[in-house]
Amino acid sequence: MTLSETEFRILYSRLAPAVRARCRAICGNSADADEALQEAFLKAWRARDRFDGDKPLAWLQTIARNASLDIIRRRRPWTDDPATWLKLASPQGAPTAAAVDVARALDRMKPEDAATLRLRHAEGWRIHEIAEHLGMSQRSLRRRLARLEARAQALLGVPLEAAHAE
Amino acid sequence: MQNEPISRLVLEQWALGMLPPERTHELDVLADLDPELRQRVERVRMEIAAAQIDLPKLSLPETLTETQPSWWSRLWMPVGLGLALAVAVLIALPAVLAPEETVVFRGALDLEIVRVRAGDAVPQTALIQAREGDRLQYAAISPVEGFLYVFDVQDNGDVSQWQVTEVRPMQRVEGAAILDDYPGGERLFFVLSPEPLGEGVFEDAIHDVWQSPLVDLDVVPGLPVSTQRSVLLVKERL
Repeated sequence: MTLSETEFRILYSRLAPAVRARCRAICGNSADADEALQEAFLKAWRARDRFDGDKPLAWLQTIARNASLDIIRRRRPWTDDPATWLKLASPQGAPTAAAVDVARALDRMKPEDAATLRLRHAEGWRIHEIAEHLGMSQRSLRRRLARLEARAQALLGVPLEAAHAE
Repeated sequence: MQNEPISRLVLEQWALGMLPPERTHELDVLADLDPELRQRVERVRMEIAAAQIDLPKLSLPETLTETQPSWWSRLWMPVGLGLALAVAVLIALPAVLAPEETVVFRGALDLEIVRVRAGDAVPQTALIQAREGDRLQYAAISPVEGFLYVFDVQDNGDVSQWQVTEVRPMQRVEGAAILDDYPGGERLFFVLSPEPLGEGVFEDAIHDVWQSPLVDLDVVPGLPVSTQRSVLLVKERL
């Protein structure tokens, strides 16, 4: 069972917006997100003979997550929209750190770690959503977030506040 | 007993209409009881709607060859045929039923509008609340070939043409405008005509019905055979 080109293009027109939205959340800017989107669908096309026909969105989102992380690993320095990072520094009130400082601080962290912090603090994802997205348990994620938040706080000199308390 | 949290994937499938009807109904009921869940799915819907705008074209290697139809095409083919039949009925039925010299709707014009403010894209319905500096992005898909016009009519009577595009069947036409400081109401008309509209035809048609308030003027009568959709634009006070 292999998707034909026509079938694959139908899949793209139907699901690409949802995949692109996730790529944007991970990458933090539209240019990288669109690059990740293209890479993800190219990888999916090449792997289409291994697709079992079940849960196409889950299949594509997994490929897109890996493609997005590949993009941000290659990317230095950060090219995110500064407003995103300001929101991360202080989602509830007035910014307490300059955008450039936040970007520099995050640049000193591993891309996966910075992306995890972004999903939690700038995009407002719930713990269980990030855990599902990263393929790890909620317990492990909480421990990891605590470590990352402490590191970010040390780098920034301001605490990070979750957009949604849990 | 605590319910299992609704995963992001399920929210996306829900927003895309991919879930079975029973599951969709179940989630709708849950969301009625849980405003936070409703908020989450609405946010996902907005993110997906925003990502739909200017979606890049899929670029695949040129060496591809079409493979034999599989289970997937067998799944989609009935849907496609059903859609084609529905479009054909939409096109043919009004033409059969409508008396002569009335506006004949030759097909449904699929329209999406998003208001972008400070980077946030919000999908809009037939009533748009906006302010100076907001960006309105629209996308229209015509089921038939023709000429798509976008007109803006202000409640002081001024008419301006935003766009005219010759369209092929199912072609997606996109456009955008930054709103100016005009404080009154406006209505945007999306007019699909099989032939080019002559100069001043739309303005004359508007002039003929100008006594109607914009809020009631969702269709302009008297135009040549055409299909129309419109949205009302109300300016927010800062």
